[in-house]
Amino acid sequence: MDFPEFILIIKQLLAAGGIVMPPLVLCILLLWYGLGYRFWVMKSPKSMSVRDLLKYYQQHDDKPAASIVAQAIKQGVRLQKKGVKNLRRHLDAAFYEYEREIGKFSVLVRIVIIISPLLGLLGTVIGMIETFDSLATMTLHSQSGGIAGGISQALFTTQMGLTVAIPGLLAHSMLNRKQQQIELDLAQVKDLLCHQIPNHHPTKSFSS
Amino acid sequence: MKIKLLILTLSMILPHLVFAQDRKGAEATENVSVSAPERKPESAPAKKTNSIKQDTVNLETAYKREYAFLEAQKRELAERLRNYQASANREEQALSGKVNALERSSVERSARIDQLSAQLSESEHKEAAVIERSDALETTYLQAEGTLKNHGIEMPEAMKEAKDNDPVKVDFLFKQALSLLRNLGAIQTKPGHFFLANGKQVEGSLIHLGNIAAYGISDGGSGSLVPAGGGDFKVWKNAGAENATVLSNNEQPDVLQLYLFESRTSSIDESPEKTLIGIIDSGGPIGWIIVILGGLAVLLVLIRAHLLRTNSANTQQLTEQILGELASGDLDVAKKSCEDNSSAIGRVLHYTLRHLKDDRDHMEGIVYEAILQESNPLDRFGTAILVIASVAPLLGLLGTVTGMIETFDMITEFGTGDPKLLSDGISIALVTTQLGLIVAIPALMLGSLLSSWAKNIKRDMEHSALKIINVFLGGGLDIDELNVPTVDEAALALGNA
Repeated sequence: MDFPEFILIIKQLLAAGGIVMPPLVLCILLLWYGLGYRFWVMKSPKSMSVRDLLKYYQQHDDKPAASIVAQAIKQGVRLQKKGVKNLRRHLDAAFYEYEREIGKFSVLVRIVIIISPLLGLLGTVIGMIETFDSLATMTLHSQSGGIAGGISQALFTTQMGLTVAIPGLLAHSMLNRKQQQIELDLAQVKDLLCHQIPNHHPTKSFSS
Repeated sequence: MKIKLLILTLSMILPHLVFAQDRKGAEATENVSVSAPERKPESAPAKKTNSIKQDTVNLETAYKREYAFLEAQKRELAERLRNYQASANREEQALSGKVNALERSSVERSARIDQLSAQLSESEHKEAAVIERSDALETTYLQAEGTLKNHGIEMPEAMKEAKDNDPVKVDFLFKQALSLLRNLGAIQTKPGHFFLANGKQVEGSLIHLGNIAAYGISDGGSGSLVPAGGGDFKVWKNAGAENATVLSNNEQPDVLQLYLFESRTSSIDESPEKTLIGIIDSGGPIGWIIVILGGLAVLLVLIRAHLLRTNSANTQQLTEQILGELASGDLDVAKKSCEDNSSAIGRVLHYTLRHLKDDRDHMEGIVYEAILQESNPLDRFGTAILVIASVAPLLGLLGTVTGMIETFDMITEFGTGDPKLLSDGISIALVTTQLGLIVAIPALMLGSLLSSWAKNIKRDMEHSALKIINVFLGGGLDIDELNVPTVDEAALALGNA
């Protein structure tokens, strides 16, 4: 398909849906940007259990971290090696960034999923208003709008809203499960780190 | 037929009659013959042989006489019978000839009848065709009269009254129509009067572009004209004033602003423009309730955004600044910079710094208490906005149902004939739904975003307080270690959501 042809089709789609189409298009962009970002942040190359990962990074300090859990483990191991007092609090503070990172865009995605069917419904109502206006003013078959135009706008926007929301909802629920899994993993990392006896470094005394 | 029957009856009766006569004759002879022997014994003793011969002669003669008489009678009767039969035959022949003649004539007549009825139906057809044609002609006359009357052309009365001059009439009408067409196709300038947009009638000149558009020019105002009913014109929304003046100077305008109308007799009404108030008003009381709720939501969102903005600060920067000041050992400067910062984080960190000398559990208690204290303004109105966001579509639905009830009431009362009657209820139904959605969508979006902003602020406060405590109590003041840039800095501001 030619690029200009593609542009033309998009223009036609925008014209068919009327006033709610620009917000819907914005919704699509935000939704898939957010979902893509979340997917990218939470991607994990291979399924290695948290315990194994921890052991691996305790032995190979210099290996690059491939996933967000691995990054957290690396930082946790570094803190543990420094032998700070109240390790759990420090880990809480350190892991806060990761928790925040994996929660990023989740509210935005949820909002988009909620409002895009509503936008579709709004377009439906606007189309229906146009239809009934043309009934009232007896301009039933005017070139722009009229009965057919109103109804097609009504149906098209509903369709569009649902088209935006349904794949978003599926992807969002999948990513949410993953987010929960990562949160559990981080909690497990904290527990593991706090209950291992630091053996490399002598405790750096701060309270002296 | 009757005659035949008569003959038949006669022929049947006649032999009987003859037979009867024969019988009578026979009886008579018998009687005679019987009486003769009876008489014989009576007379025999009396007159004996003397009279026997005489008697025998007498009897013979008598018999002969009698026989002759009877014979004559028989002949006469046979004669009569013959005569009668002959006459009957004649009569029969005559009658059958008559019957044949009559039959022939009847066949002839039915043929004639057929011929005549065919002629009759033919002429009926012709009559119907003629009536049809004359009806069509009459309709044409009426149409032509009706059309031409609008342009002031009428058939002369004498021509209209006169019969049998259809070619003349048609010729007249067609000529008039052709000349009218030529006139209407041309651009004409005529003196006349029209109404200005403010309703004042002014005298001026009218430029007719055929019969589909017109311009009016006068000292009071000019512009393109639309029919105002009754053959009058009015200026259409002050459009085309320049065109009108240019055209009146016999020049060609660059852009021709026209209002094309179908007929110059039917008035064209300006459809009222849709205003925002009008739209809301067509939603009825529920529409206004939704709008008021929407206004309230906007107000609350603004207040909430203001509260959050004043209470938020660049947490990371503030934390680093304070950590730096702590590292260089001047706690008072750090406290001062916390006090200068008017945000919630500043106040929480200030509390934290004030209690830095206490033990960890106590400090954490202090920090959580401070966060709890600060979260009150952060959470303010958050629920209210979300409640409005969820109530508005419900109100819209209520309005829909109300409008539909009204529509169906109308249908029950007046039927479905006029869509304008139904449009009232339907517009309530649709406009309330629309308003509900228009209020709900931004309220939902902004409410959720603000809530997550507030949540983030609280978590940030917690986090930076924890960080400061950690640094102060635990891991030394090596800031570089603690601020490992793990987060992709390119994340959008929206990413905070």
